[in-house]
Amino acid sequence: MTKKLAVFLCVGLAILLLDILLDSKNQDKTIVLYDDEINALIETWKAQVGRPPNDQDLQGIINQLIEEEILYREALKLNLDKDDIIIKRRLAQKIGFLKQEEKSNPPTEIELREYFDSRESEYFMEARYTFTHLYFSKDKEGSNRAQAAIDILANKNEAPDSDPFLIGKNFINKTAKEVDRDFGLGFSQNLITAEINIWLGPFKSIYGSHLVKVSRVTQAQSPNYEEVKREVLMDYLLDQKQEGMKSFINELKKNYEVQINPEFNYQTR
Amino acid sequence: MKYIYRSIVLLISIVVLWSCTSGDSIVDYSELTNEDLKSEKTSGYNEDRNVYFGDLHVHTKHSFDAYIFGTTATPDDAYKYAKGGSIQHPLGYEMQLREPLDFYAVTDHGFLMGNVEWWADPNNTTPGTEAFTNLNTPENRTVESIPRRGALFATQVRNLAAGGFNLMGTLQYWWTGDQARVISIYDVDKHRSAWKDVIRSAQEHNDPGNFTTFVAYEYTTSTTRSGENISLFTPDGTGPFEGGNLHRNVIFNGNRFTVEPFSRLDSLNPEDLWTWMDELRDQGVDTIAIPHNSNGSNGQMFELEDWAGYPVGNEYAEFRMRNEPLVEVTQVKGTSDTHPLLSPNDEWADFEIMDTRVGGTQWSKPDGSYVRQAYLAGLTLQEEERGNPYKFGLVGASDTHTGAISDDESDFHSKIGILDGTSQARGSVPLSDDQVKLISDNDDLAGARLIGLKKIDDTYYSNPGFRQWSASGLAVVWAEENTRDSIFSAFRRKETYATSGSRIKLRFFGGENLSQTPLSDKDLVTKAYSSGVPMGGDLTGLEESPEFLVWAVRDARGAPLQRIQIIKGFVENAIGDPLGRPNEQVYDVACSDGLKVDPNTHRCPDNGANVNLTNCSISSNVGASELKTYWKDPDFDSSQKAFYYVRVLENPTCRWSTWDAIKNGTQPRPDLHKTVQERAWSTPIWHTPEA
Repeated sequence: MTKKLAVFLCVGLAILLLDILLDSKNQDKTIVLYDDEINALIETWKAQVGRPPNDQDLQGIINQLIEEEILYREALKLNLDKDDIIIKRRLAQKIGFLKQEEKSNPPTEIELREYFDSRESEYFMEARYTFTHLYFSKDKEGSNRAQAAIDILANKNEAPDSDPFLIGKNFINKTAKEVDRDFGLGFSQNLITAEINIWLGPFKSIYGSHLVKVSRVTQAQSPNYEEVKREVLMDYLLDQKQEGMKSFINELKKNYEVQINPEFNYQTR
Repeated sequence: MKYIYRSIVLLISIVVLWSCTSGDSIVDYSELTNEDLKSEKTSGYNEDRNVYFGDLHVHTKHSFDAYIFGTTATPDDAYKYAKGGSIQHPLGYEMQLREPLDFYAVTDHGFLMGNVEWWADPNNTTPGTEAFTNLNTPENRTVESIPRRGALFATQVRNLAAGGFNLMGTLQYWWTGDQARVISIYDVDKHRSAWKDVIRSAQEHNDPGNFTTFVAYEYTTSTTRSGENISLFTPDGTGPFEGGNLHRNVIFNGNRFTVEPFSRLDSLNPEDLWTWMDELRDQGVDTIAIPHNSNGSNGQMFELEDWAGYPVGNEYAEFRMRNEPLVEVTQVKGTSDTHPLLSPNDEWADFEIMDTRVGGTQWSKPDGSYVRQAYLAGLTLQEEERGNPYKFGLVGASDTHTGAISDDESDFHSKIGILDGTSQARGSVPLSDDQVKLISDNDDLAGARLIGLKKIDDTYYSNPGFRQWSASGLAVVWAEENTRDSIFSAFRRKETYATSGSRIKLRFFGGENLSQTPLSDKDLVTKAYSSGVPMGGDLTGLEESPEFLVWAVRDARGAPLQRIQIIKGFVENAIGDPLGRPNEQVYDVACSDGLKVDPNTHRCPDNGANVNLTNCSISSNVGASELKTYWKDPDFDSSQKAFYYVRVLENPTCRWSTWDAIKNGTQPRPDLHKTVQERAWSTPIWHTPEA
């Protein structure tokens, strides 16, 4: 017991001595300017001003560096870095960058395949529609004429009079998004449940009314793994990076206890 | 002895020179693409042609300036974005298109391609690269880095372009003519591998029938500040920037490409570029060059003299038109249709005007810088039997330097990454006191000088050129199918038009008896193709006015249409003026809301559309979804040379700067336009009297 105490005291004494020897006075009050640091500043100066600094400029650059360093150290002594939101955010950002810069490991074939299987739905090939339509401009009583036309089509199989549509009559293998692009948002809804080879409508677009006959629907389907492999790999690596960051933070969170005023109450209006 | 030494140096130089010209050799990359070499038709093939929207002007991290602006997006990222995916802005936020595009071309600067990224690499210990080290590591990609980036762009790269201080390199240049040698830190291997990456990415993302890519790059040439066409070296060291902008994008068709792009290091003379393109064409590689930002050319894009200063003639006209069938009329750095000083009678001429030169703050002379005037100059030259070098088609583009086109006013991120990625930096919202201090304290720095400050009613704004930039634009083509070959053929036919970012769809035909087909005819387009010519076409020797068919439909997500106009340019044969005078006239030809054009003023009455500047909402139930008409020129003169092009105007909507202010909870900046009228410009149809 006494031996342990002796060791403890000795080590403590040693640390104390070391601390005195390497006194912060000496260390804190020495400013060493390395060549690299000065050279880098000269380069930056050159880049900003457009010519190399002369002797006087150089004196200024170095002086500024020294003064900045002194003020920085004094500020640290006064704990001015504490509770400064800008410094806090900057440091938090930097550690995040460090983490993000870590090289991610490429997955094995099996891992990638598993990753793909677990989220196959994200690589679904969208449904595609092939259809023809008759257009009735809203400037020319489109909705009445379209209603009359669907009746004509139902009774006799002859084409009623319609208006020309700027980008044409027939649309081949279009996704719902592409249909909305040409007819306005929501128009593709009319195609989703459409029966094949029957004139349907009238449906309204931003341009007027339309009768539509869908001739082919390629249903949405799961893709072949090989076809989308490159895309999957890119998603995998991105995910891994984000996951890495998340688990890094979660791991750190375990070491902290968070306290929030239980009385805190914010009334949202 | 001296002669022996000189001969040896000469011999070495010849070898070096020879190895440098190998940049012209051609490599076949067809195995990398999906393009079907048997040229079977894709399922969307349409004899009457489909409309395709795209952007032919996109920079990624391989561009020297984009990298300096903080961009790390690759060509792969750019194509992913064009197809509808989301990518990151250099400041960290996500960017995504409202609607994917049909075609896209990454056009990194040929000059220094791939080099700045290498200079920033901490493993690169070449002296002279220090200022670039770790430029785009994540902790350096901040708003605080703007002064450093501005300075690198404003001085460092200029010094390099001006020859730096590399004595050996200057001597080597004298012997070899290879200007790249002047730049001591230039790495030709990195340059070639970046170009190879551009090619690989375009080839891999090309998807016939769905999405077309083009292998392309930007030839970034310019004259000097004083306007002379001289070589790379300027004695004052300011370098050949801040003169007239003569930039062009070079677009390749097919699957065979050169080992190196022809850049400003090869020659500053665009005619040398055309010679290079002619030689490639002889070897079966077809390319076109598309000039852009003529507005910032200080009058030098559309001159009446060639590079050497001789008057242009028939040979020059053919040379230029063979290589440059298209011109970019609108993009982020402003619109080059016309200038209010050039077209005082055009009430819509003051649209997104950028009045400075490219990359500088000096004023750019409008005369010789705008498209409409160039068309007129072309007619005048033709009148003088000197050929027409300015019979080009129109496209729009973004010129984004983040890989991502930004053509949506309500979600604008401009184009040069960290430098203009915030509304404060763009000058659309007031600055904080700290920001004002940062800029005013650093006004001796080149970077801060580019930004500037302006005080309006006790409020400080940054005052960079970006405030005149624009959420524009798109290239649109009419092509049978969405394949590289079909779209490239449309470029050659000039069956193209430009928009300020809106997806207006526009048909335009001219011919003798078009109106015999009623506008309601179901085969209107088929018949117009068979009896007339589409945009980009020629009509000759008509006795009566041609009949024009103009047909536009609105962007389903944009504002309704307000009016369609036809802009006519012609050469008037005044008495005592044998060569004629150029003249122009703007005709409204179709009005929204059933309104009729006044036959005397040629103007539509006001349709009453307005914008609520507190939330950017627009009047509902005003404007047209579709406008369609036949039109004849009431002032037609069969003896005059003339061109006719269409301008479609939407109802007014908020400009991006107004959107920025609303999101910031402040008033729109008083000295900027608060609204814009998004628009489309067609390529003209020309009429020439029988000789």
